[in-house]
Amino acid sequence: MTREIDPITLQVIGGALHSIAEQMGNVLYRMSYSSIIRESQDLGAGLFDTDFNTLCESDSTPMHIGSLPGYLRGIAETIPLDEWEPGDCVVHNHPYKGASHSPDIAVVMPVFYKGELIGFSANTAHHVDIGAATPGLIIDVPDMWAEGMLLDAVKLYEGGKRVEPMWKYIHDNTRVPGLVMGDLEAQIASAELGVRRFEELVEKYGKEDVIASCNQLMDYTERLMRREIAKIPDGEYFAEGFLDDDGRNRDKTLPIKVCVRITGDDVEVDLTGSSDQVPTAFNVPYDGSTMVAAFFVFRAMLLDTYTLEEYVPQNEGSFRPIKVTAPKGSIFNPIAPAAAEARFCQIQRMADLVIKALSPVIPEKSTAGNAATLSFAAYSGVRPSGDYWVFLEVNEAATGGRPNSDGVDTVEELMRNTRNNPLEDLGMHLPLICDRYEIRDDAPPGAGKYRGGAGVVKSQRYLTPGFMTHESDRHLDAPWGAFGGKPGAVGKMEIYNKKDPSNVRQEYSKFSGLRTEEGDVVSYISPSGGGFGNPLEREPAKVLDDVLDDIISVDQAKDDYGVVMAAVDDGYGWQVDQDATEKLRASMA
Amino acid sequence: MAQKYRLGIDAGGTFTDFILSKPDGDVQIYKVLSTPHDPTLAIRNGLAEIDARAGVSAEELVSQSDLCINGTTVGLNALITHNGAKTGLICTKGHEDSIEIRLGHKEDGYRYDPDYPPAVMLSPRYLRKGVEERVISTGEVKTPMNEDDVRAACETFKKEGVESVVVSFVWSVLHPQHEQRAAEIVREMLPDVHLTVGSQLYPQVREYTRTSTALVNAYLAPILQKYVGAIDEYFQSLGADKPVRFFQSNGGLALGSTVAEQAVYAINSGPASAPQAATFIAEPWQDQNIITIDMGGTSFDITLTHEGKANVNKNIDFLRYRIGIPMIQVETLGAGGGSIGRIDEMGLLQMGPQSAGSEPGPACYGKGGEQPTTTDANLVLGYLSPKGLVGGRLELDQDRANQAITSKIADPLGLSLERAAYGMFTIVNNNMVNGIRRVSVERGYDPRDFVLMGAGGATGAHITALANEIGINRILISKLASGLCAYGQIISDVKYNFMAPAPFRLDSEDVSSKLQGLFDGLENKGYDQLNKDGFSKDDIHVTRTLDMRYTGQVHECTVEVDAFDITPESLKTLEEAFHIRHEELYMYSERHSAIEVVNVESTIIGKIERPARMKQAKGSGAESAKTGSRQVVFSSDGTRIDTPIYDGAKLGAGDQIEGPAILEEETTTIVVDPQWKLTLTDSAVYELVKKG
Repeated sequence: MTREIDPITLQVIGGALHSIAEQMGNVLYRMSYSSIIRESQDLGAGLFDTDFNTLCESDSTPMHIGSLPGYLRGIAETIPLDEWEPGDCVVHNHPYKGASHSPDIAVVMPVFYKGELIGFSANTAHHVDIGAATPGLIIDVPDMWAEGMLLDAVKLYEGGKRVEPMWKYIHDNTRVPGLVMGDLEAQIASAELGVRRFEELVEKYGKEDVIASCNQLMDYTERLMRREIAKIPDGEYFAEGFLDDDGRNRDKTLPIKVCVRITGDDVEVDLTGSSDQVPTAFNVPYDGSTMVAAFFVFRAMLLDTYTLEEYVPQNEGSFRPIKVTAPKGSIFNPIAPAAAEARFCQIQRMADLVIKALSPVIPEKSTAGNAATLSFAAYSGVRPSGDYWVFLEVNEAATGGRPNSDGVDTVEELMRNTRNNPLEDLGMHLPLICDRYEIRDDAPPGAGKYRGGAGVVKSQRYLTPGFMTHESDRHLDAPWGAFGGKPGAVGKMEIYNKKDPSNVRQEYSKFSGLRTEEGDVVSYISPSGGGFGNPLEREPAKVLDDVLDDIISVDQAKDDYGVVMAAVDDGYGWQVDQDATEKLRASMA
Repeated sequence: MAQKYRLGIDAGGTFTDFILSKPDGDVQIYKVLSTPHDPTLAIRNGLAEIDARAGVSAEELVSQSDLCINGTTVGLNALITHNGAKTGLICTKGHEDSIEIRLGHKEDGYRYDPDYPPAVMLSPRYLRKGVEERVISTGEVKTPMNEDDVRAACETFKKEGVESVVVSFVWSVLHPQHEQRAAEIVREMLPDVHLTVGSQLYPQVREYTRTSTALVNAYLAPILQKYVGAIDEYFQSLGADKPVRFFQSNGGLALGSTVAEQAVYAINSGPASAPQAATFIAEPWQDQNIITIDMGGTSFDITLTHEGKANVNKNIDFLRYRIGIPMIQVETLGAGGGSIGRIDEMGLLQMGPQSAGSEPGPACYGKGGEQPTTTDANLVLGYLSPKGLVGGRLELDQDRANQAITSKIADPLGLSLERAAYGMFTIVNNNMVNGIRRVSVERGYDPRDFVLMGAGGATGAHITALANEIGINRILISKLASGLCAYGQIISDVKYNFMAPAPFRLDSEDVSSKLQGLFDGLENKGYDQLNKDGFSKDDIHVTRTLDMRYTGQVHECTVEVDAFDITPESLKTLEEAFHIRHEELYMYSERHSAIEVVNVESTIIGKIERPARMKQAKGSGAESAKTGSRQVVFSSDGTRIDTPIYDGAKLGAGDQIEGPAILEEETTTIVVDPQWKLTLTDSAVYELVKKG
């Protein structure tokens, strides 16, 4: 049995591990080429033991955090532990062997100490193009082979020696080899840094103490998570909603059902009753995405670093009390060879439904319905030189109203946290003009004591003909209001040509390989969050602010909030009519 | 004509430090409490203090001072409390909200926390006005500007009583005419408002950063204007014959009138002078690589100087506002003497980020604080004198420190008092070491190649332990360490940054003449401005930076070069400098790939003659400075070692002390770990070297 490490050494080793993961993440994003990694930080990095437990991980994008153990288990199906050599470097992205989804390629390197395998240094990053059926993103494809290169525990280095044919194979099977190869190099540099720092740590504190500390830190995090789960009353909590369609069979909505079962300090997320798997890529890999998403929701809700007094090391411990059930053959646990690349909207909705299910028992940690979606746009085209240009953009949406404050406007909500791209920078390299990048004000966010956050408007204009694929959802099922709040607004996708701006065409939330013409403007308008609490209790001054800021109209102020505006001549033209408001609110109550 | 004195004033949050340098090399520090509500009051009090202690009247001092310099926290405070000017924004239609959308993410990581607060807008949505106009990335006008939109915005601003206006358009850096015309209209319709024009203040590619920088500037400028005016007036009334120079966050000085126009340069200027002081202090050793650490009551500031140049950051989020201009990189951690130690519910020992501050302060201050802090741990370990700090003016209560640590840390963990205190010390140090790694390793530097410089009163107790942990084997601590930032100001030069966008590839046609032309233009502006400030050409020095990247990359790295003629031949030098910097930062370079420039900048420096270096009289051996001994803890097992105590004031140049030892100065205490040896040098600097 391992010995007990004193709390001070434990804290020091915990701090060192955290700093290693942080540096691995930083090296990766600073060295990478593609904007999805550099600007959006769509990556994750960390150290793992030989049982594939996470010892530490970077503060990066949620879906990468916690997904690496799945990759390691998948790789072990091909490379048993005793076959690793120092200097090996493996890439992996198989969606039915642990990968989050196929564009998220993991780079894994073993860590040896005195000739013995003691763990792994690994990271994942989203690659711009892995040679799938359509550039950048895919929706309507028949199976996983249409997703592009499948890399199943493939060695890029063997015992420190570069495996050149594999490098050539990858280079030849992407539309943008310059970006993909550069990003792979960045991933390798990050993993190498992790190997080095892990070795130094073991050198300094001894293998036994480091391993024992890691185990103790995992137990610690597990205890923290269990303590928080135990505070929720035992019981079954339900919520459901539906998604627009699968990207091919239009107007056939897909149900999502969530049951959260609390038993003491254990929790089960049961997704039984959710849609069957679909014939497009709109499925969720179970190991790499469904489970990870469930882990994340609970960690985010219950172990938020910013609200908790305790130190929260990021490791495997927080996952242990959480069980995830999704029937085989369902959208959350598809059977190979179903394609499963476009998985994010489903995950977002699942997270939102978990929050909704638990909101009656932990209202202080819940919100009204979040936009809980994704707008992932792949713009592409062929340059006169014959080279492809591909640009992936993630658009913001909004959170729902919150227990003590309004929802956040134009932000990446829930499971995502990528940064936008500086638009002048894009202009330098892409035949696109960004015409509008605004807070949504065509429809009001959900009214409430605390209103929902407003979504975003992003309009990109093509200067040359091109293609576009869009992965999104929530054009039909509006974010719900909570505790008396009103529902938010659904999203929209509008396309028109600059020459004929009045001729606007509404698009589905998902489409694949759409051909675009010069002057086409693609406008995405994201959903706005639901309201929290009774709108009649909203401070009239805040309603006035929203009127002045054009987030709501004077009529909406009256109809939704019972706040009457009076015209004045001091610049903006409106102030609250206190008397009329009191009367109106009394009559509406 | 050289004046008799040189006076530096550093207005910090709690104390305002005065540093007075005399021609013979005598340098004195004075401290008074800051008066944020009336900044000239603290200055008046400080001058009175100097009068009382040094016998120089305010009039005599000011009229005979070479320079009066002021690190200011006025802008910083206005930004923290959101008390800036009422500010309107005129921008490209369709982009009114980019300032609110920001980077579109939750900057504290993947936090879900339902109380996550959005950033407070410096210009609310109803004061952000779009103008129909559009320039694209080639500089071509795609949509001409609709002047009526500008006029309508001005009408609204007039009615609303807007005090400060920003004009910032997309791609204005390549076609400034739209912004210039809009600015003319604003001037004409709103002659009294302060006006900031994006492409003039910060002419660099990336519109969000440019607009945000301009907004911060506009928000603070009217306040800075008032502040600078009051200070100037006050000093003139005392007979100053030269205008006061103000310290900026770029690490240089500027005239008040410039600071008021370019207020964004005045943010966080306080700690930005540390590298300057460090470089000057380390000069006798010819140290070019210095990490400076400054531990105060609540925070720990780290700055880094590499090859004689301070680390500069661009594009940072400061208090959640994106600022593009170059600023001395200051990493600030919530770790200080007041950091509170506690056992969390799960049984782990934490230090900070909560701080007992100075009120009630550490338990040992006896002012009602009951939480054990870093200072309490240092007292228990024997690092600090039970007789108190600041020459006994601040008494320390050993019993209260013992009691707080015993009850809150030692007993719950089942440790001895000494082991608990040493654990607190270790964890605080660990937090600081991680901060030092961030500043160095992540910028591509190995901290072991640096000398460690101590600043601030509380640093000396930790510095040898920190050096041990990082692997640094030399330390310098000036006798002026507790006022290092103020000292940095009086040895700084005047410094301005001039910038231009330069979005071209290095292999494109005529690139060398285009770059040279850009730099010439920037530097001519710089020469003009410094001539006006009274500098002759011989005293002006120019350095250049280029933001470059491999074509296809998204981020650039900033490459600093000297001002040489850029010709097709010397382009190779630029390329090489870029490859090398890229390797330092990212561990690889791609010598076969095309390189592109994004932005360029010239730093124009007006050299000011340095004051005389401090001189330390020769000593007669450390023995005579020995005042006694204490039982001091240097290891995690909590063993106490009998350790000699020395009085710094009695040491002279050449005197040496072997660790373990404690050296006490009026404003600081230096703990010499058993592995270290200390020497006082003739420039009044303690040099500590690791033995063996």
